[in-house]
Amino acid sequence: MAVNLDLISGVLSFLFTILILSYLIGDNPLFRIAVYVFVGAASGYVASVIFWQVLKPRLFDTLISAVLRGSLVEQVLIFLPLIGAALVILKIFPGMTGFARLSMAFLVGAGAAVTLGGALLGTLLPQVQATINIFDPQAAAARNIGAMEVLGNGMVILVGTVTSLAYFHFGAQPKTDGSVRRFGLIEIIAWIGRIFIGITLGAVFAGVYAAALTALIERFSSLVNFIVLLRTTLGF
Amino acid sequence: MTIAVFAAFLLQPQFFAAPRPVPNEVLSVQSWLAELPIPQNAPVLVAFDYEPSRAAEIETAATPMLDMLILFRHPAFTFVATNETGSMLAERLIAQPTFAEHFKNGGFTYSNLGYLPGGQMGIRAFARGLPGFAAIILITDDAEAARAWIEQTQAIRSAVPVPFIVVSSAQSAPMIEPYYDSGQVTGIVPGLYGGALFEQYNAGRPGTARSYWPPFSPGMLLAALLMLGGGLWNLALGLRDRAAAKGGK
Repeated sequence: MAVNLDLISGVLSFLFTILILSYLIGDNPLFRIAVYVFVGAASGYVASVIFWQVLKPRLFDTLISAVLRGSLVEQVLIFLPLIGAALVILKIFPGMTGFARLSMAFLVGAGAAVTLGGALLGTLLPQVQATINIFDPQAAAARNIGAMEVLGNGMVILVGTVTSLAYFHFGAQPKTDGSVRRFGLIEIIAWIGRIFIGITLGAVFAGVYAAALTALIERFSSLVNFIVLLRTTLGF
Repeated sequence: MTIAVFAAFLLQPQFFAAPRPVPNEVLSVQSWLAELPIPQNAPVLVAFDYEPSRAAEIETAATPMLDMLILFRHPAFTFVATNETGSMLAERLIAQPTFAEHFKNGGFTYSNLGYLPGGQMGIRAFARGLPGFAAIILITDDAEAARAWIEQTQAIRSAVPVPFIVVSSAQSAPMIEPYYDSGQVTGIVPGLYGGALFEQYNAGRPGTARSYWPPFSPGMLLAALLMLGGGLWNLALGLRDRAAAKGGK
């Protein structure tokens, strides 16, 4: 007997969508069942990916290959990540957590260096340069942007960047009345910065809502498609 | 509001026209596709970094653009994922009828490298092979992931320029926009809006964004009206309470 996988996946999709949407009437056992199944399936999937796509090809297979055919240097080098992983695993034993610090020190040090280097060369310097060059008419013309648009955009971006940065300047001095306030000019610039930050957060919120709305419409589409598929399959 | 959106999905009212104004970041991707300075069967890297919960929006945005790329250049895709579910989502995306049809006709080839572990360090190590690709397409719902890809590939792409397109969710697009303004990203396709624009440019294929647009527009408008109405109502109540308090004094 042929198994209709489309129908089975459609049934599961329909069922879980209904179970999750049941949260609209409040927290209930059906919703929790769906969440538990989802968490379990997701955890199992991630564990399987980690084993088959990371541990097996990058550690175990390489290790076996190095032991059987590699030189002494290769064998030593391949044991280093294994030792690092073993030290992290030791964290589960309360008395041996200190050993994990060696691996963690390497991970934190290397990770911070890579992140800092990337942030400096990939964000800070290019973004500062882009803000400085925002009024460059030649660069704008190359991207089909008119002179007035350059001026308008440039002013908004420059004022927005400077005032938003000023908002995060929290240096302040105590006043004679005991209150602590920022320097007057900084306070005014920071107030303008708050408006720009508010607009940015508004744009992000609109994006969050748009993403959620699209997901909702896709679920509606999925439910309708399932009913159509069911009608076609069962012939009613 | 949920009922209104569902009704609009079923009825597909055409009061709300398909989006027309094309923002610069989308126009840049369309221009790149029109000029397309890459050879036939060129190797193209597609990096996946989004959650299954965002698949609906991301797939709607990515499909018309990838469809056009396949039609024009029959590329050899290489898929890589920087989160655990990415490789599965890559297979899900490519199994869509739009791509299955191309694949059956030999329109493109692909290899899925699976999950790339190590976060930013993994991307940094992987970036050494980027000059071998004619273009990089990052499909993500996370501005931090986009930032990691842009930052860690910047040094390599400065030395050997490789077009870098980002297909993002509407949520993360505003955070990626500065990288487009600085010229570090060739263009952005933002969420359903970007997908709907690309579908018009792609002779209406595959039509998903077009069918989502009629419920999407009233959904957004209703939310805006609710917030505006709620805000004005609160303002009126606040003014009334203040007036009552003054009267009491």
